[in-house]
Amino acid sequence: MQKEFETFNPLVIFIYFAMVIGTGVSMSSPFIMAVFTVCGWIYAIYLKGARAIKSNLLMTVPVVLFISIFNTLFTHQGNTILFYINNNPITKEAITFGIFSGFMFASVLIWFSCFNRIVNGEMIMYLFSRISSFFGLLISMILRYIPLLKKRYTDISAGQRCMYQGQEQKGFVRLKTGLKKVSILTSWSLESSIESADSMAARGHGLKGRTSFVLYKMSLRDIFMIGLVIFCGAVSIYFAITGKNEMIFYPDVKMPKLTLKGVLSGAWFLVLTLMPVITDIAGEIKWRKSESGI
Amino acid sequence: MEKIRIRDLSFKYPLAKKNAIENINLDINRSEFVVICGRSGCGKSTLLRHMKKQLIPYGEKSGEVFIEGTRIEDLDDRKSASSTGFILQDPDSQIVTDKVWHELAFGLENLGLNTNVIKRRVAEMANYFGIHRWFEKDVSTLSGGQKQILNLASVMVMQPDILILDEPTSQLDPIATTDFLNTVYRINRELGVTVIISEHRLEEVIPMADRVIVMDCGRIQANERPENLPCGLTDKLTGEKHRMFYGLPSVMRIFGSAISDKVPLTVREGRLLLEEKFSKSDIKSDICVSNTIDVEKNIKFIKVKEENRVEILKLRNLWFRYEKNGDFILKGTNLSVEKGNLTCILGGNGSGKSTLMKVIGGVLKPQRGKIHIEQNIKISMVPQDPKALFTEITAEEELFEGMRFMDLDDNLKISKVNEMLKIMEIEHLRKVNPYDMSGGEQQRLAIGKVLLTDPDLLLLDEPTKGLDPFFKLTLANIFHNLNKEGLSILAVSHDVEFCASFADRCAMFFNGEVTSEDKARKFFAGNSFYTTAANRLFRGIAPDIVTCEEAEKWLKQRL
Repeated sequence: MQKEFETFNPLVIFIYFAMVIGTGVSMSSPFIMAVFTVCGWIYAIYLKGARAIKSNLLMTVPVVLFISIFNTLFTHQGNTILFYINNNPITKEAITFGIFSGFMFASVLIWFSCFNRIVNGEMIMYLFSRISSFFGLLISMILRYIPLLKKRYTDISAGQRCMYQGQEQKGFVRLKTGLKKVSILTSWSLESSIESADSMAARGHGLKGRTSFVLYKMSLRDIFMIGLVIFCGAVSIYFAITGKNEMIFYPDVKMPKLTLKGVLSGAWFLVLTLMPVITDIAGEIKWRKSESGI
Repeated sequence: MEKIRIRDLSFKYPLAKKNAIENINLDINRSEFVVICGRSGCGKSTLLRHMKKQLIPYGEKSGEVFIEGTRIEDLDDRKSASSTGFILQDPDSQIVTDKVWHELAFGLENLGLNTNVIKRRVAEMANYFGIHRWFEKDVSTLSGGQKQILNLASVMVMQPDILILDEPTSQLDPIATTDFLNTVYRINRELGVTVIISEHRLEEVIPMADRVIVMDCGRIQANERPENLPCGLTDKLTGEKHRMFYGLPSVMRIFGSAISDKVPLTVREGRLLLEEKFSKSDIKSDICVSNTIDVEKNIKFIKVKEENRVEILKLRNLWFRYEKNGDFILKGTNLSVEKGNLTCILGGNGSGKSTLMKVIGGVLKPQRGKIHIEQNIKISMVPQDPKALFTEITAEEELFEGMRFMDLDDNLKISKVNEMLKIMEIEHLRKVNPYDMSGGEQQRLAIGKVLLTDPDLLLLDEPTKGLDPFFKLTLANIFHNLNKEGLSILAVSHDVEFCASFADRCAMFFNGEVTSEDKARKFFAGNSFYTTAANRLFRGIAPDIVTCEEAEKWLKQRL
C-alpha cells in the first residue's frame, strides 16, 4: 500500500530526509534535539507499527551506552570531576556530552530506518539518472545482473552436484569445487555479455545524445512540497542560531534559557518532522470523504 | 524495389579455413515473411548478421548487401539502429536493464528522444504486446517466454520496418513458442514489417511463411514457397532427397514423398486431402488389418522384454514442496524406470517435471515417499543449460575433467576421452572452446562429460531443446546405442515427435502425478491432442499410425 507521502516525487522525499537529518545533526539545541528524537520514534512507530519499538530500542540503547562510555573514557575535559580511573579524571560534562551525542546518533539511525522503509531501488535509480544518464543505466544494469548471476550460480551448483553425486567432498576438494563453480560462472557470464553487447549495439547504444526516461513526474504539488520543506527547515535553523540556544558542555554544562526563539525553532522543526504523518493523515481524510461521497 | 538485396555475398571468419557463407544471392521483398532453416552451423546466423549494420561480424567479406537500395555500410547509424530490429537466441542475455519499463525505453533513450515521446511509444507498445500487466515488474521475475516477448517489444518500440530473428524460440517451451511466433506473425500482418526468421522447429512457422530458404554448408539449397519446398529438396533427376528434407514438418514430409506439388502444410489441410483421396469404405478394412498385426507384434515384443525386465529406479508416492506452507509440486508421484530403456516424461509447462528430475537426481529431498534405487546404481544428470557444466578451454579437457574424481590411470582416461569424442561425433571439435560451439554441439559435449562419470541412469532435462531436426536423429542413435550397453535414460521433454519416434516408454506428468504411462506407441495412439502430427493426421483413418515413417509407408502403399 502506498501512503500519501510516498507518492511525492523521489526528489521531494530525498530533500525532506536530508533536511530533517541535516538539521538534527548540526543544531545542538536541546529543543531541536528533543523534537528530533521524539518525532523519529513517532514516525518509525507510525510506519512500522509496534515492532518499531523493539528495533528502536535495539538501535538506541547500545549506541547511547557505547558513545557515552567511549567519550567518558577518552575525554577528560570538564570542571566537575567525579572520580579517577588510572589517574584519568572522569568528568560529569564528558558523560553528559556522551549521552547527548549518543541520543543524536541513535535518532539519526532511526530516521534512516524510516527513510529505508519509504525509498525503493527505483527512486534511487531515478535520482542517479537525473545526475547522469550513464550512471542511471549503469546502476540499472548492475541491478539486472545480480539476480541473473545468482540464478546461474544455483544452476551450476545443481549441475555439479548431479555430476559428482556421492563423491566425498571435503576440505581441499570442496574448496577446489567452489573455485570451479566461480570459474564456470565467470566464463558463462563473459560469454553471454557478448550477446548483451550485441543487443545493446543493435538498439543504438553508443549514439550521441542519449536521454534517460523516467516514470516519475515533477508536478506543482511536488514543487510546493519542496518549498514547504525548505521553508520549515530554514526558519527553524534561523531561530535556533539567532536565539543562541545551543547546549554548551565544556567546561561546564550550560542549558540555554527557555526563550521564545528557542521554542519557535523547536515548533517549526516539529512541523517539519511531523510532515509525512500529517500528509498521510490528510490524505486518509480526503480518501474517506471521497469514498463516502460516492 | 526489394527491401533487402544481397549480391554475391561471401564471408570468412578470421582464422577459419572455409567460408561461413558462400556466394549468397537473395532478394527479400517488402512485408515478406521469410523463414531461413538449416542445420546448426550452416551459416544462418552469419547471413542474418550481415543484414544489420551494427552486428556485421569481423572477417573477410566480399559482395554487397543493400537495404532499400543503399549499401549497408553507407547507412546512417541512427537510422539503421532503429529501422532494422534484431532478436537473438538467449532471452536472458539480451535484456540490459532491471525493470520491464526501462527495457522498453532503452532503445528510445539511445536515440535521444524526450520523455514525452518515449512515454507515448512505450505505452503504445506495452498495450500492443499485452505487457501492461507486468509493466513495473523486475525482469528477473519474468518467465522465459515473457522475457523474449519483452525483447521483441523493446525492439519494436523503435518502429523498425525490418525484423530479423535468429532462432528466437530455441530456449522456449512449446506454448511460449506458439505465443511468440503468433506475435511475430501479427507484427508482419498488421504492421507490414518485413520478417526474416531462422528456426529449427518448423511446424508452426512454415505455415506462416511466404517463402522458405534452406541453407546447407553456407549456401542456399532451396528458395521456395512453402508448398513447393518438398519438391525443391528432391533431386529432379534421381528423385533423391536432400538431407534437409528430413527436417521438414511431419505433415509436409508425409505428403512430400507421395505428391509433388501443392503439399499441405497443416494437419487440417492434410486431413482434407486424405478425405478427398480416400473414400471411407476402403479405409475401414485397413484399420482392422493393421490393428491385428500390431497386436500380434506387441505380444511377442512384450514376451521378449518381460524376461530381462529389471527396474532400476522406482518412485513410490513422492511428495515435495519448496516452502514450508507452499503448494505441493509433487503429489504422490509413482514411476519406475527399467534397465536399458529410454523413458520420457511429457507434460505441460510448470507441471513440476524439472522438480521431479531434481528430486531423482538428489538435488532436492522429497518430504514424503520413497525412492527405491537398485544397489550400486549411480545417477547423473545433465542440466537444461549445458553451459552450467563447462569449465575448461577445449572440449577434450572438458571431458578429461569429468573424470577428476575417478581413480584411474591418465592414459586410460585419455583413451576414454577419445572414445567419448567418437561416440558423440565431436572428434573434429576436440580443440574447440566449449563456449564457441553451437547449442547442439554443447549438448553433446555435456552428455559426453556426464557419461564419463560412468552412470547407470542418465537424467536429461529437455535434451532436444535448441537442436536442429537433423541432429535429433543422431542423438536418438547415440541414445539407442547407450541403451544397448545397458545404460538407462530418463528424460523430460516437450518434444512429442522425438518421444514418439525414439522412446521405449512414455509417461504423462500432470498436476504432480504420473497420470498415464505406457509403451511409447500405445501411449500416443491413446492420446488425442497431446500426440504426434502423424497421429492427428490419421485419426479416424488409421489410428495406429504414430510416427512419420509409418505414415509415409501407409501413404506410399495406397497412392
